[in-house]
Amino acid sequence: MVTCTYMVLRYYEKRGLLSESSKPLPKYDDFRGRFGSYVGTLGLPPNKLHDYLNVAVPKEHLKVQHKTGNMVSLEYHIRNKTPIIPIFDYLMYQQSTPSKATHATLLTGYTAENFYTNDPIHGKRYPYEKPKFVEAWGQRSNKYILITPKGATLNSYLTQTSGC
Amino acid sequence: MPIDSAKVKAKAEEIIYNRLGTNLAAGQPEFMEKRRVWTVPLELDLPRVVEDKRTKELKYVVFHLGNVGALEIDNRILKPIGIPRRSDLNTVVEDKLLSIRSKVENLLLHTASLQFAKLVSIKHMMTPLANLITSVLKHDSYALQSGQSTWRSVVSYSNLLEKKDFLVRDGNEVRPSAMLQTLYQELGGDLDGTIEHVLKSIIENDYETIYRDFKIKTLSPYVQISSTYYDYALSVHDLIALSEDDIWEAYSTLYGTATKKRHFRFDDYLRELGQESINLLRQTESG
Repeated sequence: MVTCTYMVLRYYEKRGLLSESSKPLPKYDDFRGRFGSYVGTLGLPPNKLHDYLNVAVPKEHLKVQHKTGNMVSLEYHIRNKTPIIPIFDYLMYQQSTPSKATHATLLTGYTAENFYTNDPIHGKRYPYEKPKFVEAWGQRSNKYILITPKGATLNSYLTQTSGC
Repeated sequence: MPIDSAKVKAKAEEIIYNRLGTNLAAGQPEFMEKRRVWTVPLELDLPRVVEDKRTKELKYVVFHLGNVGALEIDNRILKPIGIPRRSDLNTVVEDKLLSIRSKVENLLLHTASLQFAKLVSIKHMMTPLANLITSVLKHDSYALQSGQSTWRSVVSYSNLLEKKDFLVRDGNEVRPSAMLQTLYQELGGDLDGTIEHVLKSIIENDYETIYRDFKIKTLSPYVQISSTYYDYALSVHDLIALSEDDIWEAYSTLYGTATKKRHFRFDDYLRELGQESINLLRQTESG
């Protein structure tokens, strides 16, 4: 989740959507280091993401929304170029075995068959097969997270041409 | 009347999401009739991604650590009345990981003790023991001189070998036991081999004694480095190829050994563990 959050911030930084865009974001290792003490062996509590972001990137006033939805809502956000982080059971996706651990990925695109992601494990443009992904996502009650700069509107994203 | 356990479980999942962490999940809630309270076990799976450097394949594994704590939820108002602190849960997880690490080390000490016994630095540290065995096998007996302080270590080793039934004592004289003589004969009179087998037996069964009482800590980095690798290999059920950097990273993280001195010696530890006669680790084509 920390990696996905960083990817989202980089996305906004590149588009000049961060309030302190003149100040570059810390390097990833530094950013992760600031989160490290919150993550530990238990993983990050997603609902604390906002508090932690205030520590890691103070003054950015980012808005963090925790939502539940379906495949249509995921595709809607992708079309609107809003970075979206679904959380799901990765072991269920890979091996059809449920686990307690939750994985997060950043959705960047989709086709009829796949979701494309910038994935913390697999890297750029990693495809997740939709049916299996939806099953694994369902294991975590179809939750997803939106991180947006305060004051940003839909048009803020649509004026840019490149993907997440 | 207790409320629906599915609602309690959902509440527990909400608390985990809000306050505890993504590696945890709620177990099956249990209703405590007397206190009118639900207890929900907190179960943890620790994920790990391991890259096999040879195949470039990423393997995702999870350690099922089971229960690490519990939530208490009031039956009447469906509100939490007891949430463990993250720091306390972390401590439980660390203890469980320590226990796993210790099991891997023990497993390794039992399965690879002969390889460890062949390490030059271990033999060097155990020189008095080797001297004793050589002496008793060559001359059939050896007279201990306990009065001199420099001989203390020899006497200690003699006591250890006596306890292990490799030597028998008669006053100040020590002689090879029947077991040691049989071993020597079975190995065709090979003194080096006999010493290695005696060392093997000690490493396998008395590692704590040589570590704590004899203060021989030379062996521990070899055991720890090998354990680090086999910990990963066991978790993915495969003898995967890890880079030296990956092993160092895992070793220094697991054992908190990230000192410059340790890093300086790390390559040499790997080289020794990879020697043909030891063969506890093997260098792959890609290094």
